[in-house]
Amino acid sequence: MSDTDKDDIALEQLFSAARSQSPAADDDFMARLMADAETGAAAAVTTLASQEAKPSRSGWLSKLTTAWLPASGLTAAMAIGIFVGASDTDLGVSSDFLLSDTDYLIEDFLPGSGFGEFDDTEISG
Amino acid sequence: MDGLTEAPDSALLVAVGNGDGRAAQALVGRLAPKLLSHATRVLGDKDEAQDAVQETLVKLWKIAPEWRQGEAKVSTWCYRVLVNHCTDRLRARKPSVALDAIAEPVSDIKSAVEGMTETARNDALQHALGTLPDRQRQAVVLRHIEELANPEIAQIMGLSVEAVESLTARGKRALKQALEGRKDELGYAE
Repeated sequence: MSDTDKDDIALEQLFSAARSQSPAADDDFMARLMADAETGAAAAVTTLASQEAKPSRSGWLSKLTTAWLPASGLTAAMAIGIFVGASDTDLGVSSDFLLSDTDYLIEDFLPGSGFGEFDDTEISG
Repeated sequence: MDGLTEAPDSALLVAVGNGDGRAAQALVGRLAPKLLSHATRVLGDKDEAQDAVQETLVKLWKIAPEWRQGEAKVSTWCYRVLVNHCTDRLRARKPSVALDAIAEPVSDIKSAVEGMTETARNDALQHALGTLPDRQRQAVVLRHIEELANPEIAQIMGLSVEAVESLTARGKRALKQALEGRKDELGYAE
């Protein structure tokens, strides 16, 4: 056996002794850590609550946008549904405009509404 | 008993983030002895070691609300913080062992170690560890006393696995040299 091997064995015996004699955590120290643990957990939930209660600017903007988009989609769908439904009645409204190249104005669908008055109006600044 | 004993560390830490004090105490029971063992070996001072462990765990409670399961091992995170605390404390000290205090080497450590009690072996190792540079000391303790794998030590110390292997190999050589130089304290003569 070489000297290096012998040294390695000796060193391993020292490591082994160290592992078997790990420094013990005394009761006072553990009590201190346990008290910290209680306090730390209570503080953690407070931190979490304050993070949730204070949304960021991008957070409220995002919520506003996501709330608005479905609402506008729903409104558009309802409007189209009303026109399509009305086209089969004798209300004088046709849904052909959905399929043709013809330009339609609001006055065409709601005669007398007054929107036609704006058709040829030039907007001056 | 409840599910705390079987729950993985990361699940307990998520529970701590939701304000569960019992989960925090369960983690203390698991982690504190290992952390204290490392800090005591590296710092060689019980009070300082306890302070370093306490600071580490206080930091753990602070990050608990942001902890996500599966991102890292809780024990690895703790070791990493503890290693940094120990490094700071060691740097703040003056060197405790002068280089010329290491005497001429003698030929046979093995026969000396075999004649020693467990306590004497423990003390001899502790003294020899104190002569190593900080990083070597931490790497040797993590590898050979805490018995962590090299990849985990690499994560803890922010090094490559190869660098850890090199550090522990140099640490072992330096330990042998330090032990050889302490023939009188080890209780043997040429």
